[in-house]
Amino acid sequence: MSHDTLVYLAKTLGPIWMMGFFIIVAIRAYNPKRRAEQERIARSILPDQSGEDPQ
Amino acid sequence: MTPAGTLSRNERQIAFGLSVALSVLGFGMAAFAGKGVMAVHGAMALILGLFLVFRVGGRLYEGAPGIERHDRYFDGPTRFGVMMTLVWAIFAMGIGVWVSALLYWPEGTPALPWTSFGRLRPVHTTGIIFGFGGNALIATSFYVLQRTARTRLADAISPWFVLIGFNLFCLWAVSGYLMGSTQSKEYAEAEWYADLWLVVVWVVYFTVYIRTLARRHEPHIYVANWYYMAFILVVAMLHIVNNLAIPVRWNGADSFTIWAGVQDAMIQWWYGHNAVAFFLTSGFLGMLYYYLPVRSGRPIWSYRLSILSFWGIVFFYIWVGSHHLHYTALPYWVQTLGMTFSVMLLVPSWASAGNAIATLNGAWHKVRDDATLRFMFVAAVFYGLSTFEGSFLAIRPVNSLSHYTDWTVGHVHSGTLGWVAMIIFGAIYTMVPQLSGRETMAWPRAIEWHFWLAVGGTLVYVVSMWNAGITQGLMWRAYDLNGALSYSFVESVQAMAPYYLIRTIGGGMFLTGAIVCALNCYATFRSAPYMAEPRDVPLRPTPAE
Repeated sequence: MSHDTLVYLAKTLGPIWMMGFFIIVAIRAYNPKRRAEQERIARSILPDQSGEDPQ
Repeated sequence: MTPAGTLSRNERQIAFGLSVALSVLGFGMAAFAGKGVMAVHGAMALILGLFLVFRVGGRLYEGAPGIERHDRYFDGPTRFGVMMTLVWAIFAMGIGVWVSALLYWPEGTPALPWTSFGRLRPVHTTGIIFGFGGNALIATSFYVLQRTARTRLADAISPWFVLIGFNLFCLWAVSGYLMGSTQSKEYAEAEWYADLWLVVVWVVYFTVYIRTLARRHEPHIYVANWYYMAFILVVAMLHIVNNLAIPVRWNGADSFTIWAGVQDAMIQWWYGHNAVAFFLTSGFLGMLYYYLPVRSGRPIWSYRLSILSFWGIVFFYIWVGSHHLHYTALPYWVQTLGMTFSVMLLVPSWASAGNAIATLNGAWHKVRDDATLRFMFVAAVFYGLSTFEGSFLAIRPVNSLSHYTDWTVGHVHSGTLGWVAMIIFGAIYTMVPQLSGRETMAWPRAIEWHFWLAVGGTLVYVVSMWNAGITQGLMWRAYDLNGALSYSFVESVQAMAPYYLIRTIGGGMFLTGAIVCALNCYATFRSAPYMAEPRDVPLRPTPAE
């Protein structure tokens, strides 16, 4: 592989990989359908607000 | 009850077998090496193995604990880990204060090889990063893992193996440096057999973590566990690749790295900066995401942001190591890559720091009244400050002023004292009463003393090093009208004297606080029987009605 090809690949695929990864994570994390579940998880570690019987 | 008393008969037999195996391994190493560092290390393993043989063997046939032990979390290893954290803190911070004093009074160095700065410096860094930080990470990870998964650790032997094995690695490392043995890789100075031993320990650690997660009673894996797992997994990868070496001979400590030239430098700093990222940041963010909400009684401000910043930190950090090699033989574009990712890293870092601070909104009265929560708040603030500083220092022209100066030392200590140590102390003060079946520490007022000693010590240390570093950097690049250097190197060293003295005082304050913490923890553990009545228990599967 020539140096120019390598640079071309790095400059095209690199940003696509990085931005693609970011978009996938952002969509998964910020999907409104997950909001209630995330609220529950965030509270699950608090002793008196777990929403479940400790036994 | 003793630690061995919490094991079943079968588990004690396994522990006994492992202790015998360690003794044989140590004896074999000592006999095979015959003399030198490796022989001493073999003897150390032999002594530890024999100690464990007697410790476990003496209780081999004592009454086994009842089945009800499965109704409580397995916190014996965590308790031991907390104690080792504090032992290493006092030892390694003590060495740090001593060597910093020697920089002010160099004539005070005794005429003994093992007391030279070059040998004591890695004892300080290894003792702090691995001894203090590593024990805290392992101890809290077992605690957090069980509480967030609402289940007991998958087995009772592996956690002990991990903690005892890890501490043996730390002991081998620092005793080797004192004897003049080093791989000459910063933060990876331990010799080849110690590195292999750590791989075994780490594989067991990761396995017990995954096995426990597989048994969880929570459908979701709480985000703190993601950070802890990133820590375990990536540290294994970094450790193995950077420490690939060929021993000079099988019965000696010396070895040669397989990497050569600039590749060696790149691999070393890929490791070195990711030691900061995955040893000194990722696991500690796991701590922050668990202990801060628990202590403040408020859920994390944005759970979704914690996920986004997790992937941001993991993705960006792995590329930044080359910013340690600006203006070197490393290709220019690789330096630029490291610089660019370092600047981008500020986004997920500040997202984490901001998320932690926003969590405290509505709980500021607790921050005011509770020194433990204040430790965590200060940790989040210093995390934000030192990550900003890190991104800034990675920029090439800034680095041309800061590199090789004490600014770097100041930056590292704003991270380790202000962020890492503060979150450890916050976690310890939350955990130790819980482990002792108490509401509070034995001496609640002492936490307040410790807090102000720690904050004061950190500020004195960091501000003096900022001044020292910028002064050095400016003196080194000052030219007179003829184009000659304005100052000799020795003049720049002499100008450091007041800063080095102030830095020693700051370090001494921080050490004093750590001693107060250790005494407080000792008093708290002493006040309760071993394995006191638990204040929280795992979920137990109940039969369907």
